[in-house]
Amino acid sequence: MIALSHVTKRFGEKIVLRDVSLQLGERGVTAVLGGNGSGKTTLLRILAGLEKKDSGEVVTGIRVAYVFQELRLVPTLTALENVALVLDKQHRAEAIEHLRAVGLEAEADSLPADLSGGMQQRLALARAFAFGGDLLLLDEPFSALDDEWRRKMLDAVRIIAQTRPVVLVTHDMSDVEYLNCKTIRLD
Amino acid sequence: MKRSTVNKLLRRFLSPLLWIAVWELIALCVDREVLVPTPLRVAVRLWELVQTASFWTVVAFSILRITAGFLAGVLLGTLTGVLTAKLPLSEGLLSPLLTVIRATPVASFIILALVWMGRDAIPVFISFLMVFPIMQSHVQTGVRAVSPQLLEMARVYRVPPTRRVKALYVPAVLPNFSAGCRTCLGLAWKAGVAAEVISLPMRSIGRQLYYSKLYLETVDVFSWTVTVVVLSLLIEKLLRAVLLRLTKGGERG
Repeated sequence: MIALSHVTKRFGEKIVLRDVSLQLGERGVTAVLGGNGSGKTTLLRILAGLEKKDSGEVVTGIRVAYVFQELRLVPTLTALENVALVLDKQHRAEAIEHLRAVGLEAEADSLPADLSGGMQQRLALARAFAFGGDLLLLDEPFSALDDEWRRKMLDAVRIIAQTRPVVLVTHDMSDVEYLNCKTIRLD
Repeated sequence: MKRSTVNKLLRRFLSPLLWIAVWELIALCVDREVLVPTPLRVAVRLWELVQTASFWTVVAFSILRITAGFLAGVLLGTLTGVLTAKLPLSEGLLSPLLTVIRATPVASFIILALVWMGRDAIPVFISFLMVFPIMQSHVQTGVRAVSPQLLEMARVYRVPPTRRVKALYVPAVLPNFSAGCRTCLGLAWKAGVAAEVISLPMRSIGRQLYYSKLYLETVDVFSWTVTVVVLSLLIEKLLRAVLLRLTKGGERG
């Protein structure tokens, strides 16, 4: 089971996370709620192994797919290459299928800069879905999507959450309700 | 005629012609071939030279020496640039050496090289010394320009090192690498020929320049200098074409 136990994280004098505990279970979506600067992204970064905790326990060594808030698409690679980048050699041909699933098949040869904000967000989601992993971390992944694609992506996350745990940072309570999330509030 | 076409014409033909006219005018005013020969006289002499086999042997050997030094500098400078960008300790260790190479006059190195090595190796060594620190600094800057956010993404998604290099490092380093190569090529030629003039290796442009000066054959000095300029421009064009292909390939990952 993936879990954080009594984790505290400081940046200089500022305590960003204080004694936070979280158990993710085998499946389902956990929504992390809280205001700006409450440590939501820091919590995801600790789960992804990108940030070290100052105290407490964290399960590490798991394969994590992460949709970053700022997306982090490689600007010099096409949409197809961005997805293929995270796939094993034997699965690279499947990249186009993942693009098709997020409606970007026609944009396979486009660079991220030539895509709209919503398309870029779908591309980041496609990359995360393609990677698979033991845990899916989503940091405000639907903010630029229109209603139609928001609903489609929420459905995709719901399907993924049937097989592995998902942690979602969001400000939108309708997402939380739609995905039937467990919630954790950071303040 | 379009403005851009006029500009092109001006840059390609009219501007060089203007400066050749200025040269002609100076030669006519000075009126002593031993000081400033006319462009026509230099052109005729150059035409005589290019018809001899020894001219091409001399040119080939000079190109070989300077290119060898240039390539060695590019290779070692690139490797060192990567190393110093990734390992701050190595930057601390190498920094005094690089500062000394940058600050020491090229003439000092040539004189030291005369003591240390054979005359054929000196232009190679000097061209290398000109290129090495510049390439190191350009490549180091390029490697450090790779987005830390993208590196984190690659870490999370467990992108293998070879794919990381191709997708993230190569596109970030290539523009700096290209700029470094273009800067270094001219320097390698200037310093390499200067080293040849002092070390006088057999079959070298520098040796021809030296003996032309010694016997006051100013027309020959001008002819060999024109040869160096033309060679430098041609090789730069070739390098540009290679770098352009590399850059296009690199951007596609």
